[in-house]
Amino acid sequence: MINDEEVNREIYSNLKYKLAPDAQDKAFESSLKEMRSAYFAAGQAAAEFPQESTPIKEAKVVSLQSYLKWATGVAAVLMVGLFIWAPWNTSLYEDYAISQTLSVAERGQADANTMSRAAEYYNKKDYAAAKPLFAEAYQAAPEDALTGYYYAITLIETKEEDKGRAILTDIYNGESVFKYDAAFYIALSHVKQDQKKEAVDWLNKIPSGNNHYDAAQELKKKLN
Amino acid sequence: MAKNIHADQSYIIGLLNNDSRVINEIYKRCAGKIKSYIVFNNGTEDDAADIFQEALVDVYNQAKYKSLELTCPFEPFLLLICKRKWLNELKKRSVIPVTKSDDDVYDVGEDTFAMAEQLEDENNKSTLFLEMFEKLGERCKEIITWSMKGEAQEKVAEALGVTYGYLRKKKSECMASLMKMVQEKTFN
Repeated sequence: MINDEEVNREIYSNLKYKLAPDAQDKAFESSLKEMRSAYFAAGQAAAEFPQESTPIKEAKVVSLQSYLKWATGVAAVLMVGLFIWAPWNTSLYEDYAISQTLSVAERGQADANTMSRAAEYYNKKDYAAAKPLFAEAYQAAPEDALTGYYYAITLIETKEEDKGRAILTDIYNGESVFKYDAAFYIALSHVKQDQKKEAVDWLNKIPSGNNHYDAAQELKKKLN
Repeated sequence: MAKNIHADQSYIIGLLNNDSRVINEIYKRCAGKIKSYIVFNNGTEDDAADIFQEALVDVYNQAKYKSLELTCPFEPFLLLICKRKWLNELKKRSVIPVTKSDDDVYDVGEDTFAMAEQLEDENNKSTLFLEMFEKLGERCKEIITWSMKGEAQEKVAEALGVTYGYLRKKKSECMASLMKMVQEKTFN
């Protein structure tokens, strides 16, 4: 038999958010709305999409398949050609360097402006210009993992590997969401300097299930 | 036995703290994948944005009010939730999805699968509770909603223009009928 108190608790936990969201809940939803416009294109009418368009789509899928045969054939020939030619013969570091763009969506922080300028240079790969800005932001908030992480990458890109690694090691030793990003980048910095053993040691720290795990395993194979 | 909490629980904590960096990171990592999945499967970018937002709200909600603890990696978990939500939505719109099986797009582990399932079950439960709540009389709904705001009963009574004694009596009646419905539906 379930007692009243338990049922009461169930009612509360199931209905609280829907009936009486608190200030924090509302703040969270408005953060999501802000992100929405940054990551999804607005203005498409979702409501007018229903059934009638399906048959058309299915027909398209069918016809696509015959194209696909041709396309894969052509692609295969191109791939073989490209592999022989191999114009991208870049270093392993460049292959695996995380080409994420940095977007800064912060509000009401004194360093937000510095960060967004830094992000702008960073995204243009102008690391030399981004570096002093990140340094400034990092000094203002050394506990901030996002700033630290990107500052460190900038340092590594501008040949200050040791300094960058020191920051990343701090991040790795903490509990932020950048923990394993940091580990992965430390490994990459060693790859960059041709220190295979250190690189492999760091790659081994990335657990399966992490989004860098596959890349880490692949990179390890290439290093051996 | 203690559950093995995954290191990605830090994402959940970030959501709970409304940490803009964590939220940004989640969008950066996952939004594009959801967008392509949904757009490829008879949806629009707006659909994708809705589904993504809903999924994050569910995770937040369950973390906060039902102490959800992550025992699997966050990213595949979130992607799987979105995917299931979208498949349900397609079912509602009676569109047959292009991709049918559950693991053709993302390679999901058993633990991830179980977590997504649990989230969906809890969600369905909340929806059921809400349906039962809607069956109550207007006054009851008002009183329960006010009580959930966590304000002192005296204040609630004042806001609703009733006496404290009446409020207490009415509230216990309302809760009793909601509890009865809940017990009949869920615990039998």
